[in-house]
Amino acid sequence: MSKTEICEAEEVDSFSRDRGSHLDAAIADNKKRPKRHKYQWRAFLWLAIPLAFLLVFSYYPPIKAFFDSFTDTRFNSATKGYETVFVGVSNYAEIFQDPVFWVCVKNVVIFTLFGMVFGNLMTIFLAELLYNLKSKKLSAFFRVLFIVPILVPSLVILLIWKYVMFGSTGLMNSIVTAMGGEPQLWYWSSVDAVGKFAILFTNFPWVAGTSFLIYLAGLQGISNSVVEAAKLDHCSVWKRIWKIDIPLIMPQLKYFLVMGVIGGFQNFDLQLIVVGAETDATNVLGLYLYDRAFGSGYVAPEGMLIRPRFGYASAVGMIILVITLILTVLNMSLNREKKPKKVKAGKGTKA
Amino acid sequence: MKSFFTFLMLGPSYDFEGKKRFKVDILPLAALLFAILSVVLQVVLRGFALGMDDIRLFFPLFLFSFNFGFVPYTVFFVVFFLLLGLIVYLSIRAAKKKYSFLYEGVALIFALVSIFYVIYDAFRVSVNASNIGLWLVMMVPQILLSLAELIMGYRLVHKAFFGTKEVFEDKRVYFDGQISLFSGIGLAIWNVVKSVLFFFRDFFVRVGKGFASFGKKVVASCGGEQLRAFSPKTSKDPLRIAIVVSGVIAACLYFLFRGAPACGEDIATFFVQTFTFADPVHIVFFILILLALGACIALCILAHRKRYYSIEDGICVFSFVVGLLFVVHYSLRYGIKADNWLLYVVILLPQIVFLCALLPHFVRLLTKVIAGKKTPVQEEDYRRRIAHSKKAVYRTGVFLKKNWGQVLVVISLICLALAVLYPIAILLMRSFKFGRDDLVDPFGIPSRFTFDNYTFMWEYLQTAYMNSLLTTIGVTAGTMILASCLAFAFIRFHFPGKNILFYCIIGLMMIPGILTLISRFQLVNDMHLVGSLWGIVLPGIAGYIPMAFMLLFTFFKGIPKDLFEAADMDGATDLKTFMHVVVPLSKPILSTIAIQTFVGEWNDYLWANLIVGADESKLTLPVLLQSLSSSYEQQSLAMSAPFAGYVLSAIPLVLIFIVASKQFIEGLTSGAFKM
Repeated sequence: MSKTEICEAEEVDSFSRDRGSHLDAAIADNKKRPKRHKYQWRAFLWLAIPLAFLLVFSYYPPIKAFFDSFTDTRFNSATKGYETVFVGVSNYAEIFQDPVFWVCVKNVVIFTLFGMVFGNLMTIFLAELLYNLKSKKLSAFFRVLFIVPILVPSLVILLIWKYVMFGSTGLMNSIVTAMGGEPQLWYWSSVDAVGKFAILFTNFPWVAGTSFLIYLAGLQGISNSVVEAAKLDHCSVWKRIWKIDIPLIMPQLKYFLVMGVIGGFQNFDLQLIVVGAETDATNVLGLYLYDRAFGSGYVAPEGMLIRPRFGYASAVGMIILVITLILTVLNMSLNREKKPKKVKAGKGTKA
Repeated sequence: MKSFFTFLMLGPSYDFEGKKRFKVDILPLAALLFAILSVVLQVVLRGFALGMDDIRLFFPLFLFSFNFGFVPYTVFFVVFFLLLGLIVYLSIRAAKKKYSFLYEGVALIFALVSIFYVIYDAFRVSVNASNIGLWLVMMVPQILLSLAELIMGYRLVHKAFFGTKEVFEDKRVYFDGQISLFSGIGLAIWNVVKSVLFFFRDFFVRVGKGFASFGKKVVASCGGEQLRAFSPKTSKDPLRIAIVVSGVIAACLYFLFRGAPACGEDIATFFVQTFTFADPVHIVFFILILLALGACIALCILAHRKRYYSIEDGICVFSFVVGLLFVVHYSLRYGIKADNWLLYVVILLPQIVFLCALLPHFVRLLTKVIAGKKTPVQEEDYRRRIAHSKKAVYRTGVFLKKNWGQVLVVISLICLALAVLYPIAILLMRSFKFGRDDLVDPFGIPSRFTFDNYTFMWEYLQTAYMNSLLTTIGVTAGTMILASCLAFAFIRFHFPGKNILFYCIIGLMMIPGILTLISRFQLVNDMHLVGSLWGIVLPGIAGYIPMAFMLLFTFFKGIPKDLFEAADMDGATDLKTFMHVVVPLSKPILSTIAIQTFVGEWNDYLWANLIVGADESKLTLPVLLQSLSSSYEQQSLAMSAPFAGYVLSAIPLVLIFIVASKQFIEGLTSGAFKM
């Protein structure tokens, strides 16, 4: 890699290139005709402030988090105050021995898997419906309808689910009572299955957001010749969806799978805003971390009230980072293996 | 007079030999007249005060509704007549194109009345947790039936707007075994009676070939040839199938939920009473309903064997029987006495007239079964005629057949949209309620609206609103300025470490926010920015820069180099190039970034809660809304006020969407790339 790669990027005509692959294009161009430019030091006038921001708020915190994960807050009886001491890997050891942590891991895996499977299924279903709708006016109308939930702040959506749907006088309870059941506490239920159901059911039918637009764009990107060929072969709708649409929107699907893993392992908005406290049924890693760092009155194993325990929480954060990195890399590498095949298939259909 | 009938499409009806049979086709006219009469009676007699059990209280109220004193009634009234007018308009349009329209028009008027009845009843017995079962039982069959009839609206609209003019210039295709009312109803009823007599007399003799001979006799007595009018077997017509399916479902629901008597306001006792056969009256009704259902099915099968299409008739007959039983049951329940005969008239007369509109179907079905002739030859003739007039829109299969899948798609889309939008609709509705109403009946449709919640919440949220706007605009402006500086430097200059820096900035997007949450908080704490809006703005800007930089860099790359060179030639400074060349050109991407950042920051709860959560005067909107709602919940106050706050908090996003909907959507989707 030479230092002028990015400089060359300027000379690439972006209209002839795919937006996402500008760097590859730049690299390719660079290999063809290497050039040298004089440095323009006044660039740093422009860079100074943004870079300062990034250094302070974006680069320093993760590095500090890494070092913090090897420290802990201890009560010093001599000075009657808290102090930060280096403790090596004992935070990690403690985390792995904590049963609550393993409950969180289990829950996160369940929630993430469910969200990825059903979220993507429903979203693809919606995109297929919109794609198959012939009337353009209706299609535009429905698109706007499904965008409406984005206009409501995400916190408000969660609060609606908390109070309107799953509240004590909420809709779910009135349905349950109408069917002859007992009102439930839902998110706060002591029954594991009920709590989990509430969490999983939140945001039903899981299509709100813009992801359906991305799938729709993917579907509309399918070349007409493929669709026409399917029509000529009297391909049924189901067959077309499974054999043509799904393989051809794989790029989008993979993107959402990767984002689903990253998001799913971090996300704890629902638990923080709606549930508000750690329960075995709903607890996730994010809330576990948050509570150790900012929660009130967390009791450490020694029976001592410790707050806040930043080192311990940082260690949890590192573990989340490692898990998501491993899963992302796995996902990406699976993705890479399949790429050449797809290119071949694409060429085959065109020829 | 003749032109009037032609206008109403009541002109002479033909049979398949093309012979003129009747001067005026009265069956649909009769149905229309009955329907209009029923509507008039409903409106005049019942008005919208169905709930009044005493007729003497009813009339003042009725006058009251004409005084436009009570807004919902007036709205109701006006909308009803507007829709009625719409139906008439459609019918006229269809008639001008010489299509038959009466069947659809009548069905639509039925549907309209049913729907308004449903809405009115929903107002009267508002839907809430305790009576949702009752509501389902009362309303769902009604809704389904009206839906079945609404389908006719589709056909009418097609005829009115898309139909080719004067297709049926010479011949009408709408035969369908029609007979004129005068010769038809009278003779047919007489023939039915006669047939029954025959049936009993010759039961043992003619059991094998009975129906055929009855048919001959009836045909002879009816005037012979006219009954050979043939109705084609169009069993694959999806429109009709839809009507049949919803009709059957409605019938099943009636049967399951209501049984014959709509007794008892409590659904539980109703079930017990009906299914345990405790009350002999109920059993009788039950059996009668079952018998009617069986008879209708049998009649339909018989007609079907003769290649008549009869399921519509069958459904009409069944609803006729059910309606009749309802009338009987009702009069049994209340008992007609001297002091309440007026009530009886008001409630039951429209129903009876309504039933009369269904009667022709009964006659038609019986005629088909008893007198109709199986005529396969004529079917071919029919096909030939249909093929001759290819644009005949009345062949209902034509325009629905190909769109069968489309209908399914639209229906599933509607279902999904309802599921998605339902919580938001509830939120909106409850935010306009009085607190007391909301506590009593959270999910009912409010009978009165108030803006008090909004004025109260606006006062309460003002500071938080300002804080939120300040931070969000601060973050958005900061991100746009800094990220575009960064991207400009990368695109315009060559400096050491450019590549490494590029990857470092892009790589920031991979670091999960939750990992840096704690150390970022400590950092802001050390800078003494906790409790200050700067503590939200500064890290916020840094957080949004990488993504914005990505987008801007990609976009800047597309600016032609010539422009920069021209600027250089003119001796423009870097700042001037930036301000006068780059910024004006990149307005679209800048607005995309602005919207993306704005939405992201407006939604932010976690970080804002950490930084300003403890300081009353510095709270941002999400933090305040969250704490407000939980305190309302704990004191078990009505949630209508917080709900108004939720709606208020969505206003900036809605405004942005209205102003720049295209960029809004792009802004929200552009972050997603494929892999």
